[in-house]
Amino acid sequence: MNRTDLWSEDELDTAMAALHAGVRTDDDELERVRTALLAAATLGVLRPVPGPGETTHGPSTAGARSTRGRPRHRRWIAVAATIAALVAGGVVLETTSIGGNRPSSALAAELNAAADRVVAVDRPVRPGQYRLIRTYTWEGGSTTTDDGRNLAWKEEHLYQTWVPADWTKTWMQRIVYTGRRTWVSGTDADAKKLGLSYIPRGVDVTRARCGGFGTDAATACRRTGHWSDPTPAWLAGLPRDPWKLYQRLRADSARNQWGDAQLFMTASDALRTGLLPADLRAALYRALAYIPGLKITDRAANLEGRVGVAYGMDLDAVRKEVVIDPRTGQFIGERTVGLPGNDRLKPGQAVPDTAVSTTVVNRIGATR
Amino acid sequence: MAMTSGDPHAGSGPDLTAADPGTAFARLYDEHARPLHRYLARRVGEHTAYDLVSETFLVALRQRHSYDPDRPVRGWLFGIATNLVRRHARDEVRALRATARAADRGAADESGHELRVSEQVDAQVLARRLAPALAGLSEPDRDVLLLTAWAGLTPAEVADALGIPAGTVRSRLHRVRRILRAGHHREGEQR
Repeated sequence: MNRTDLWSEDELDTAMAALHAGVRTDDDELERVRTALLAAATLGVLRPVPGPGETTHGPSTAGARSTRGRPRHRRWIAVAATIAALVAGGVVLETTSIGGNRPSSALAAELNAAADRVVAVDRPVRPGQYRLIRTYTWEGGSTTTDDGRNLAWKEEHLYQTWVPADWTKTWMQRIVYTGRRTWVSGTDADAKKLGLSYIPRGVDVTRARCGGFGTDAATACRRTGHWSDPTPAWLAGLPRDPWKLYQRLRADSARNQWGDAQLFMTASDALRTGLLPADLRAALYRALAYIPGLKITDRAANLEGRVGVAYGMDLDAVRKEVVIDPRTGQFIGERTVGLPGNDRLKPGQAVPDTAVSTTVVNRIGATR
Repeated sequence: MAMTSGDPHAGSGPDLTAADPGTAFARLYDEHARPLHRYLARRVGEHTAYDLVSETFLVALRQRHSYDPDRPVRGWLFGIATNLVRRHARDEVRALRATARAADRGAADESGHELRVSEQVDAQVLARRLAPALAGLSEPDRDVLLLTAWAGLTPAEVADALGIPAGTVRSRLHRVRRILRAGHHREGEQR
């Protein structure tokens, strides 16, 4: 070693290893980027298209500390901005056919063929393991301005629910509010005038036995269950014969102005929980075929760009759809399609509402 | 198939050319996003690094047909990422100088001679003294050094990432280390 050298090789290695070694990588941020990437991969979106009322707030990281000194200008990541515009209806990525009357027998045959393709198989959850149900969505609210205009917005959420093998044990639910908002109609200025500028940002974690979030364990554990809030016993009591299941769906659905569409909404409520076992899902997809007016569309994408088959029904100026992955029979999300008369969506314009996935993990709180 | 470079990854890269690249890219992301973020975060900061991770994979998506599965995929990805870092060279140099300034408020002695004589060598103190030296390196030199030290790439992977021969990687690395060890850095030089 040269006499004039200051440092040894070891000292250099030590310094290199220690320099900036304290950086952290946040799981939620990586997840967010992953979602945008997969959407881009399947939807083929690589350039941002600003929505009409897109917020000028930059992306914010749940729990991130702001940098000291002057605020940094955070530019939108191309695809994240596009998702925001997509859920606001400002970007048309997909259109689907909405017209035409199909002979009901042909439709039923098509649905049965689709149900046949649905190979409904679930990964088993062994004792001590958890089913993780993950729902990525932009959901929001609406209100009216003082001068009678409609304000509507969506905010980005990630829901993660850990369901134990034994439902009477403790569940955990984690909700990430990313703080990102997009406008469906209205602007930041409107919100400010009404005092609605605050956007929740952060992470909520709650635990509850029997999945009784928002109630007490005793109430939760002794409930009988319903389509939107099932229990294992209630699920086991549903018929697996598609026609009988359809009749049960009709009997349990409220009679209201939605008519037959209410049956579809009841079924959607059940699918949305992510708790239906595979054999029941397969039966339910076939049962849907009996609902008068049901529409089926191939190649429908969820909010992460996963493509499946959509079952839907027309309600007023939108069609609401559930998207099914035919290879696994998994419910992978929901979609809204514009119909003639819609003041925001073009006829046939499809807006994905959610992306849903489930997996089995070994520990509560684990994501893989 | 693996005989050309002796690299265990040669010939076994993923197929990214499927019509629906989602599955392949999901797997790519799950394997490489975290180490990419860590490497980028150490260079340009945690928050910018998320943007760059996203851009890296979006660029990879756009250029997926030009990826050769015989080449290591890690080299390809970190090469894209390192190219993106170039646009943030000012941020990187500023961050390194900020780290260095934190040292000035610390120990009294600045002389390297006394550092060698000292019994206790604090790794963080060393790191902070090294920071201005890194800021003074040329970008190609810094890339070779950090892809090796912080991304953990082999010389073959670094060669792939930067589009230079593996022999050049080794000699450049050797030269840069000598520069850093001798303290012959040029602080404040802009590129």
